[in-house]
Amino acid sequence: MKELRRNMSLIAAIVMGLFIAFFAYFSYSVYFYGGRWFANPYNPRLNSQKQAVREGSVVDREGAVLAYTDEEGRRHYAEDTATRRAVSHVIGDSIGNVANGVETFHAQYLLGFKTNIVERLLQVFQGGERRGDDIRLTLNARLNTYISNNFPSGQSGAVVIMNYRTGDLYAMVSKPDFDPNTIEEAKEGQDASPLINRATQGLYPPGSTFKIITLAAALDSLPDVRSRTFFCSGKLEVKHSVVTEAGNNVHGNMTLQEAFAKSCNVTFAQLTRELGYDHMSRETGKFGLGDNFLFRDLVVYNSEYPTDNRSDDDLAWSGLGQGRVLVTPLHMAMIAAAVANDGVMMEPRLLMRVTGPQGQRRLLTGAKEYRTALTPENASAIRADMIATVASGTGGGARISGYTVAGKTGSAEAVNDKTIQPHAWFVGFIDDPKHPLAIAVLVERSGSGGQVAAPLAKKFLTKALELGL
Amino acid sequence: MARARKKNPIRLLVSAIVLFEAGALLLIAFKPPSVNLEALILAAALPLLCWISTMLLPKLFPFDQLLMALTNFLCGVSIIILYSMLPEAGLRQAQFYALGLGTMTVAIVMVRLIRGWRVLSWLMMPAGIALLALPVAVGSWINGAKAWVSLPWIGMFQPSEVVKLAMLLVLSWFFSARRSLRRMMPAVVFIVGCLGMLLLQRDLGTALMYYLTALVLYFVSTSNVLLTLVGLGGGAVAAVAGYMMFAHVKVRVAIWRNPWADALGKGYQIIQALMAIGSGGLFGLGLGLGLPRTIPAYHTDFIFAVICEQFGIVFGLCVILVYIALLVRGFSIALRARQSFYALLAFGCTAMLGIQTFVIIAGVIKMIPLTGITMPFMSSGGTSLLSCMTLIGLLQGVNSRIKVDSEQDWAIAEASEEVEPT
Repeated sequence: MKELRRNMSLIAAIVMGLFIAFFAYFSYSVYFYGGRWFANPYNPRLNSQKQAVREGSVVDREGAVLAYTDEEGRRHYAEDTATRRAVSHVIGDSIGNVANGVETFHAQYLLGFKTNIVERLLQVFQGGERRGDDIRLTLNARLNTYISNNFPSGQSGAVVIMNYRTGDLYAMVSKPDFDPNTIEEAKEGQDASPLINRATQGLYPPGSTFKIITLAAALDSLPDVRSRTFFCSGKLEVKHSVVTEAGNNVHGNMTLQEAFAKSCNVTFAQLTRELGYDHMSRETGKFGLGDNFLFRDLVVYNSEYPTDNRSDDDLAWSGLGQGRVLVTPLHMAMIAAAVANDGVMMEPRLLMRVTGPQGQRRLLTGAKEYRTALTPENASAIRADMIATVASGTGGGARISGYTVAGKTGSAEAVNDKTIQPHAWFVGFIDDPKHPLAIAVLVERSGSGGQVAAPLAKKFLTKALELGL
Repeated sequence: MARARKKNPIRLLVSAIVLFEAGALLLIAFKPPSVNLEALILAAALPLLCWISTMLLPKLFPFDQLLMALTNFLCGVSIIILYSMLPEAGLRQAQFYALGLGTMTVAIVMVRLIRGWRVLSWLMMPAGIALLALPVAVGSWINGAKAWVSLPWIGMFQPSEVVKLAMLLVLSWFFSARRSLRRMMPAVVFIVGCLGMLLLQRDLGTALMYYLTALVLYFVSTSNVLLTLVGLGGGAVAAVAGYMMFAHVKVRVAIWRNPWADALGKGYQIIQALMAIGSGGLFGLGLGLGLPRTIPAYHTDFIFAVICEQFGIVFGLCVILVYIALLVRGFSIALRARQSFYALLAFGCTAMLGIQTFVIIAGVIKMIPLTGITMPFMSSGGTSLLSCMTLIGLLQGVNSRIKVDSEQDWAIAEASEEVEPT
């Protein structure tokens, strides 16, 4: 009997353990994913709630109306066509053609699911219709419209401008865009897929903008790297491939900063091979590659730095942001922002304020640190290298008189075909505590980052400064 | 004053359950446009049954009131939820609940009266196999399994739910005689036969339940770690073989890994469940609100998702706590039993309830691959509810035997004390 009781206690403990595991798993998944389970276009509750509740409106940080519902229950978007198109991906549509726009991802507010019982009773006594919450976004609609109007016409790509101290997103434009009033047309012309938000869902090779991370890894793991002199003969032979320079340049002897400013492929491929996969994957992890982004305000596709195929060629190319490395433009903006913000990466924020129908504010968590990517020393060292890149290197096109601009260009080859132009990248920031702006510009298949993306970044940042951001 | 303080805490708990049941059903009854007479009757009948079973049955024999109260609560929640979604299912469930209280009482009386389970065990074995063979022979395919038989008068009937009880009794009897594998052999042959029939029915979820319960009982009674591990390993091999052989097992696993890949097709069911849970939030949308009917199998396997949508995640967690309390109660009965047969019986009943509850709720929230089995006391389904109530009856029977035995011990001890001084 004694042995029997002991065995029974053991099994009972195991069964109880299962239930404790269930409790933990359930709480964890509801906390992190509950909102996402709810706010997806397959949820039939969203549409049925629209019959009973007048959807709240969406305005930008200055109060310009981006979406509202009239008395008859029809949904309207910004009056001006250019504005409507500029914010089309952020706002999305309420049927869910655009994945994870504000209209679906924040439907819990807009459709009044956050309304509590006291507010419901108040509404009943006041006799009015049921209303959802109003949302004020961190976006600046004028800046978005300007970017949308000045993006190279006919080209695809994305632009993100954010505050690197708070994570507030000021602009997020994806091209090609669509007009929510005629979304059916956009759905039919499938070619350029205008419904995809390229800033958050477009996974691109980062090209040389990735050298920011390679540089951070080198500073972390190779103590003497600053005092070394590098030599570039114009090409570096790896096992099955040859790393060459853009325009077949030969850089000769340089310091690390010069190599970064000139975006020397040979130097960085060498450094990556010296660092190896272990150091590289640790560093990329610090910057959030391979992490499951669960931001509260918006859905961002996860970036990748694959290490499963540990070949020497892949390693060398990965340090140049080529091969199988993939990032979104928003994530690249966050990486530049982390350098600007003393190594601290802020969580991107899209909701500035949510107000209930009686004017009561909903509780939102404010600016939040997402992760620490760099030590403050390394951050300021990389900041200096990025300033040098704009002052005297490939990023010259982004110079703005009166401000210190820091940046890194990139020309990323998505396909192995020299006749197709590379994706042009520029990521950077303004080094000024009064104007903490970080930017990422991507223009698909358009040429080199220095020639195409850097001048655009200058234009957009100048406009943002003009608007007082 | 003093009298009020001494109030039985069970009375308080039962009052709370009664109020909850009556309140919820009255809410449904007076929901516009018209007064629902059926719901009004239920609002009187359900609390009455709850009160009678918890407060009056202890007058007949020693009885675990807390266990009964928890069972009543779970059944009550189920009937209310089912009635709000699908009145006929709710009514049927209420009828089976009343019937279940009857079978529970019969089970208590049987465990109290019957001393020799030997003959009965031998009789139950062929009867069990025959019952399980019935759906294979004359059943019809429902949801990829052939587990049901349609009977005149009674309707759909799932033999595996009844044989479950027989299996617990048979295993407890043979394993309590124990020690030699040879003497356990008849029970082992029986369980292998059951598993074979269940596989023929393609009812893999139930087969899993049977297997795990049998394995746990074997380990507990023999302490044979090696053979138990071999058994577990065999189960794992069988699981892998099942994965290879049955296409629908492969699909289940794929859905578990990423249901969003085919949100409108194969992953539809689980995604609808997750959305329902997410929509309910912490405190739920409210009884009768929301769209629980969009979840396939909302009234059976996925009833936990519906509870979370209507009453909220906090309530859902409370329901799980009630299950945990019920299991603790069951295990404690098993640990207090004086004879190994009763200990094994109580333990088997509790372990089976525990494993079954875990497997289904963990499947609903995508913690483990979904297995199509019912949620004890909750899922709509007559046979399932009856068999669960009878399990509780077996537990109560063992509990009352413990009380009787220990009272006899006391009497003997007292008698000997009286004798000693002379």
